[in-house]
Amino acid sequence: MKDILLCDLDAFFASVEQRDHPEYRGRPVIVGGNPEARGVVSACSYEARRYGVRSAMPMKKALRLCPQAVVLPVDMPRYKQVSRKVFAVFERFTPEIEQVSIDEAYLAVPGGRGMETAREIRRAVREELDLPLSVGVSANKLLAKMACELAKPDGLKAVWPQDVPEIIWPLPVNKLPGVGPKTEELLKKIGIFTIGHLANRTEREMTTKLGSYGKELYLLANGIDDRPLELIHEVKSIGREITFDRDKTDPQEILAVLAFLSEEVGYRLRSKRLKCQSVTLKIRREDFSTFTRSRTIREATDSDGDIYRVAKELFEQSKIAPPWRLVGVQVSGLLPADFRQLSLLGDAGREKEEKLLRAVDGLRRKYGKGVVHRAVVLKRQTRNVK
Amino acid sequence: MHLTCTQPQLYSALQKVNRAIPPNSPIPSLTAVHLQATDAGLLSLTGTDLEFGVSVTISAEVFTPGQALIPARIFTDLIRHLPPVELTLKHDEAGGEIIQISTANSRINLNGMDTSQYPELPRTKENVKFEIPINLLQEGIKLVSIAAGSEEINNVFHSILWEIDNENLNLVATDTHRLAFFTKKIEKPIESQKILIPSRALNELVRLLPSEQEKVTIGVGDSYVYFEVNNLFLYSRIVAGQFPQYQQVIPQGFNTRAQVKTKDLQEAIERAVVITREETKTRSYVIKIRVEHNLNISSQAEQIGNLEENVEALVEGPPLEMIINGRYLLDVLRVFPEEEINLEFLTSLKPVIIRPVERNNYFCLILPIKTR
Repeated sequence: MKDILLCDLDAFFASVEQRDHPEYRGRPVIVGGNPEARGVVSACSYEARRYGVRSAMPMKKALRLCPQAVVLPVDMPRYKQVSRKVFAVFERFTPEIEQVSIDEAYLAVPGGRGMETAREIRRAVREELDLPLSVGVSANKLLAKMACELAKPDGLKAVWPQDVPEIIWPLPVNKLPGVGPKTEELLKKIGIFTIGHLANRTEREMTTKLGSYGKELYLLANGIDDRPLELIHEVKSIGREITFDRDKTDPQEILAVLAFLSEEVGYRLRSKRLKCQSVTLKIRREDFSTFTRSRTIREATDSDGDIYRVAKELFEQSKIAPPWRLVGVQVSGLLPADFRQLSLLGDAGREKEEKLLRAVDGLRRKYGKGVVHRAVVLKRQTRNVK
Repeated sequence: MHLTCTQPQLYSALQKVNRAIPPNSPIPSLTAVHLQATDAGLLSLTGTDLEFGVSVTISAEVFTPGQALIPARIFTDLIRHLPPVELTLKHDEAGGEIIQISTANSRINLNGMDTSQYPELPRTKENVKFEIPINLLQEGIKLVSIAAGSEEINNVFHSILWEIDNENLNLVATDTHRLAFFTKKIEKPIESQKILIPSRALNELVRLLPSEQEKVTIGVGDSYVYFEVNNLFLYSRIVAGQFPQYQQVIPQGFNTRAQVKTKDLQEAIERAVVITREETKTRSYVIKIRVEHNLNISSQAEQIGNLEENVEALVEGPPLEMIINGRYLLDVLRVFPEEEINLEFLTSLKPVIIRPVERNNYFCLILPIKTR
């Protein structure tokens, strides 16, 4: 058996800013988008959290809660660079790493060495990179994650399976990964308020009440989790979305944005040498109600045009009333694009499109993404000029 | 309606008719079997999903002619479990749609449905009518239907092209990745015609045609085609759409040809695809064929392993390599009755043609896979 570590950089973007600007230390720091353009909080320092600021909160609201905060734009290239250095530290300790996000990773180390390794990693990250890192240690991913939640900020904690009744069961049920507000409400209705309440029901009861999801929750509540580490960080989907600075009501304009998003997504698909089997459209209305519509396509594709056609169809059939606040395009069901079954029909057109996309991708790589677009995308820009 | 018939006859007819009855339908009457009893002492059973229909007629002693519409699944299951004796079917005297099924020991009342809701089969509107030998149809459909998509949708690529040019019957199918062609001379010249029939309907036809009979009568209308033999009547909607100009894509001649034993090649490929069958969609069943002095088959999957097979072959022409979907090849090899076949190649990225060595009225072509 291996020990599993969940390493999570505390308030990562904000910590990087505080590290590089000593004058921000000890002050509330918020990293996020433009408050005037509906930006949201990407990260906030613990000082800011004391005022109730949370990530994903609209910037406007965050500033109302904490007007004296230091507000900084998101400097992603720099955070990525720092993140790579942190992961380089992890790699000195074990090759078995699952990257969850830019600032979070599961590590597997030989059984019995968990706490010791965690201490060394925390010391290395602190000394070499001057960043706070919280680590949770256990025998599986779930408990490591929960231990890390308890360890924060800048702490270390182990929760072993035998500790579950004492440490995990008294926690409110929404602390269980996967329990959102809706599930929480559902569980409360059947008298489940803590993780312990859930753990002490039967698997059968939970399955009848919540389906296979109920069974999963029941197992998690008992600290049982056999998910393996996904070592090579496999991409499951690729998506791009845009929140408009002003709500849109003109469908033509949405189509132009969808074309733009399809180009972005197609470009990323091709640069990863993948094809997709389904396309998802996401729309958020001004009242924050969010809709997604998906369609599976007959033949896997990596073409901007194919992705756009499906997104457009989904949009036209969705009949979701304006005003729209956000649209997004996501592709999933990703497959390696190294083999292509030839067809009796239409290969001539395909070949031509492939050549065109290769040329366009080359231009984008050389001169930047904005250098060439489909004509329909331009409608988006003319509109902005008006 | 009031009649008697025997359980074995009724059950056998129900089994056939059920092939056309959908388990669920937005039109509830389509999930029922339609019964029609006539003065002539005949009972016809019919099922249809509007795209495709089957009607079977059996003999019965009819006291009162009439019709009934009975939920097919329940009716069939009940009849199946009755002993092989004489049955009486009768409308309840109290009226309504209740059907009474009785034997010496059983009495069953089934709620029927309103017969006026049931669609009529398009039986008499044909433009041409002719006969075709049953064995010819069975052979041709079996050989070409492998290349048609099998989903229950009426689409050009899930259909078989039925083409009569004076004295030949041509059957052609393609799902765009492969194409199968069968042709046979017919005895009497028939009016030229070209229609598309869903592959599903023709596969059912092959299954239902009685092999003891010699010929089947075919009627072609504007939007339907029907097949009739003895007591069996089967009809299908004709698929609208343009079948690709298939003659243009069939390679003329070859650069490299390999003659192999069908069974040897089939067994080698069966093994080769085991390695790759669980790969992701674009990679599953992919194999490599290398033609040099013999035929070399190989396959590999990162997580599983790799395989190499040598199949003895008589090779003409320069060496050649091709990546191809092994399942498509197996589909052909499994239906080929001939012992030896030829594989004809032009280049690595052009279709390969598979045809029997001993005859030239059938072939299948498969498009290869391109790698980047």
